[in-house]
Amino acid sequence: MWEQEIHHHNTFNNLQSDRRVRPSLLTPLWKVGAFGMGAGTALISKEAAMACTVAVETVIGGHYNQQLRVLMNQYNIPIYDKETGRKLTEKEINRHIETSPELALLKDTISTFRDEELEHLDTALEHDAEKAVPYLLLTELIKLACKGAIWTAERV
Amino acid sequence: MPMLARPVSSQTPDDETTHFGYKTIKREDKEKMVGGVFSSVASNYDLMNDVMSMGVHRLWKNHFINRLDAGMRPGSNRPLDFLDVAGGTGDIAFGLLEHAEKRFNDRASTMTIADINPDMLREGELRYQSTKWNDGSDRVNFLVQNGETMDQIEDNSKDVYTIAFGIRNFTNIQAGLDTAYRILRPGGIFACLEFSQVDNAAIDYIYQAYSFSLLPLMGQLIANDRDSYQYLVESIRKFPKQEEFKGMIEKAGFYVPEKGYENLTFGVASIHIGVKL
Amino acid sequence: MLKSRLISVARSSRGVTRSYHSVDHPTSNQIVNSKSVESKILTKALDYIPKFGFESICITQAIRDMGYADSLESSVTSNPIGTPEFQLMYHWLKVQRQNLEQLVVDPKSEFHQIRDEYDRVSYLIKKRLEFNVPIINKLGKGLGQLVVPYNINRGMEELHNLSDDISFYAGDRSNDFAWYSKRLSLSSVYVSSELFMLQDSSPEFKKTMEFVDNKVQGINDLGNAYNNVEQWGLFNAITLVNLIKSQLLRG
Repeated sequence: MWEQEIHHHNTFNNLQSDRRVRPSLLTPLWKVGAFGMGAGTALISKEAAMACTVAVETVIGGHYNQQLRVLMNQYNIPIYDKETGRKLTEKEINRHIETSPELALLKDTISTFRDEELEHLDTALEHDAEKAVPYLLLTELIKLACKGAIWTAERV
Repeated sequence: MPMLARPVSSQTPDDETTHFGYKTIKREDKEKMVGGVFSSVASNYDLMNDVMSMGVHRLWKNHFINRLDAGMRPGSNRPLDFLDVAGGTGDIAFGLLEHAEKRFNDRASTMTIADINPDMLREGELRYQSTKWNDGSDRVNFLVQNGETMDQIEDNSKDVYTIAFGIRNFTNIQAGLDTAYRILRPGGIFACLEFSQVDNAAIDYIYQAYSFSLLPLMGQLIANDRDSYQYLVESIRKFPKQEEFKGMIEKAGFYVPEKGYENLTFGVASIHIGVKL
Repeated sequence: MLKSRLISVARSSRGVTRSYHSVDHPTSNQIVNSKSVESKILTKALDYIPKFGFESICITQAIRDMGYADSLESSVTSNPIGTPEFQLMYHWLKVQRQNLEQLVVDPKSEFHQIRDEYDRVSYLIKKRLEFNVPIINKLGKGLGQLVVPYNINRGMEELHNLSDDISFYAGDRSNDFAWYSKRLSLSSVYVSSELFMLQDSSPEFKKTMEFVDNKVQGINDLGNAYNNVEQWGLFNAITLVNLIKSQLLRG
């Protein structure tokens, strides 16, 4: 699990450099926050750390899904049949639509990572995540914090 | 008093009707009705504009003239031929000539003022008598012309085509744009200053409230002519949005430089530019 | 909403921008659109800058050379971006950025012999300053156009684009906050070098080139210092957590 996360982190770091994307201005804040969250829940108990994992993986799974939806939906641009000129319905659109290798690679990467993150979610649940004492409070708080961080990172 | 719209018979097919502000009328009637509006306001056209825009229209027109910065440059040997359309009273036309003279010492470029309404044109001629361009040279001439056909103006004969607050009154705006393309020379500029759509929702609300309630009232009080003002306000609403009008200019054959329009006062007015290449 | 954040081509500055440089769709990264008429006019006008400076007469001359009537100049003056003088300066900056890109992409260029990141940065800054040499007498006025309050946004945006380009070509792979500090320090080095160059009278601007080397070395040292501080911080944080854990274990 640890190696997979490292791999995810490195992949996106490399993509960010390759595509010359501007990273979020508040990154040190996210670093501190992530460290604090992990260390904090670990100090409470092992189950709490698992609960933290559950919360984070749920949020990240949803985030990846949203991005995949955007990539798959061709940005809501309508696609027309080559011969007849008729607009294709959603069902008829090939899910592995021909785009540039760059976007296809992005799609595959995100799909794979999303599957791996959901595996981590299952692993955490197997390791008695639900036995953590303030389970609901902990997970909901962490989910809220993560969603807020993602929303902010998108803008700043 | 301009004629009010007659009810349209349900047997008339769609493309024979058009809009006169918010009323639907027969196409052939529109020209007459617009003519009626402008004939009745010709003598205090400037007053009407001052009232409608609270004096801001002078700023807009100055900005328009400055931005165009049109004139024969020093060192050039060919004077430019200006055409100001629907500019009966001549404020843009004389402003352009003044600007060219001040900035570039251009005393040779010619100006043709065209307007479909003879009353507006007469007003312009009256004003011309007392300007410095009435000096015996025939640099300035006045023509009664329909902007959609311009039958007295030859192809490829003008360098700068300006139309300020006039194009929304055309029955067929695309025809007006096509004619503009026809009569301009390659390298010629089409410049249009017109009321347009406000981009900011909050300001748009205030603007709508002002124009629909206050303006016709002011018109009634100041010029005793509520209906003309009502028509004018409604014709603004009906005019295409910035992007749509830009598309129409491109459809006429013009090349539109990047962005293609400049919003003035949050989009209350807008300057559109097209280039014939 | 999300899609515009995730993958969006560089937009002009109005608030927060997130640029994305596509590899498979390279036309979206074009710096200067050489097909458009305004860009053709302005590029031709650049040739007259050594003679007339950043003045609108350059544009008048360019239009005359292209064989068009003076009325075409209205298409440039009516551009809402700014005055013709500013447009000239802005175009100059973009064209030089494009020249720099071509230099880097050219496989025969000596740029590819340099391996170290900071040496590359030095080399690129010096090359970019060399592009200024033909117009060095007029450059002061041009730079003055950039700091006019109305234009300052676009001026800053171009400066950032230049530092971003140089960092990328040099091989910068920093993420997070280092991305910002690198570009910021690069921008300040570039600006101070350019200003130095304006009043440098040494043969072939030797003093300016030395100035650049010194400044870039300074950034290098600063960067190392920051990394050291960050590592130290992380080490202390982990140690603290372990300490707390062990205390808790003791009861």
